[in-house]
Amino acid sequence: MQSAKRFDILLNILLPLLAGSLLYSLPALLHRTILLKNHLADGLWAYAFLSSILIIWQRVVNRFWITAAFSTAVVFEWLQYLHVFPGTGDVYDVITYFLFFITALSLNKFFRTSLKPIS
Amino acid sequence: MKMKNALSVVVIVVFTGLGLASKVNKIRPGAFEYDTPNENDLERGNYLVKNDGSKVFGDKIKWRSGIFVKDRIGIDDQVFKITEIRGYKNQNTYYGRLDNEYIKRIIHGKINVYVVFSTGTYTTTDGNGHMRTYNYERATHYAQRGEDGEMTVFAGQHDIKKLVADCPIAVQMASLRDRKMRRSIRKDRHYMNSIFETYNNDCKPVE
Repeated sequence: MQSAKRFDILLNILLPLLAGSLLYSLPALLHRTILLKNHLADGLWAYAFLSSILIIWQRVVNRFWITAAFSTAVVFEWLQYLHVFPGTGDVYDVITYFLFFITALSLNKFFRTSLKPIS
Repeated sequence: MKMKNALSVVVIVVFTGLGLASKVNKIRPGAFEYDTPNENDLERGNYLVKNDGSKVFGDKIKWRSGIFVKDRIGIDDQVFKITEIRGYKNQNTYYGRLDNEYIKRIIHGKINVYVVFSTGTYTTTDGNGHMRTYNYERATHYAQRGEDGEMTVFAGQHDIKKLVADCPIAVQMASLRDRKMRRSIRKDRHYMNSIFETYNNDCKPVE
């Protein structure tokens, strides 16, 4: 049980965060495409974020916290747009978050069944 | 249940923090023209500018700062604390104070633009275990309103548009789509500079 959860955390939280932080910290890699440069790191952040919520709730979809995650992303970007938070808030970032949130949600069933301990 | 709710709150806080800590610099090194003469004062020679705006003229400027040294800047044999000197001009280039260092000004006017370059390395290993080391350069751009305003980082078109918001021509110049913007910069190495120069020129195009 523990090892399945650890693997889930590693694969769906730590790995995307690590990949995202590499994209942030290795600008030489980012010159390749605008898509990579501007959105993939944000998307990986979103994927890890929603995966964290799903893993906490044993991969049972908790509507309240899923909505809270979506709302956090929108508010986060809105506050960037208003320059309350540093950054460049725009609608494409929100779309990226949502796409990766939906990806995490779509894979939820797969991980719930495949990482279920054999009893 | 309570524990899970608490953990969910923690996750939201932590991920918001992570999002805040990681701000992508969308302006690559070379987006601006950095070596263009931009200082429009007529005073010859090198000088330091004190916080009150007065100038100390001289020839040789030296400054140093760090953990083990006193933060000092000097011109010839006159030495000052870095906190007392807001900038200096050396060989037609002006450098403004950012914390305890001085960074290069590339555009001078109502909005001043500064740049600081940093370099780093990263290593990759291929399937055969061969390691390769790459160097990269990063440019961080700062904007400052007026001669002694606070320097703030700007990291993309959206930030630039905010800075020049009260000048429609400059906003329009900064609003090009990614591909068109890249093409404009390739065609005119001074394109990004001219956004701010237009703004600084009372919102009239610069010839």
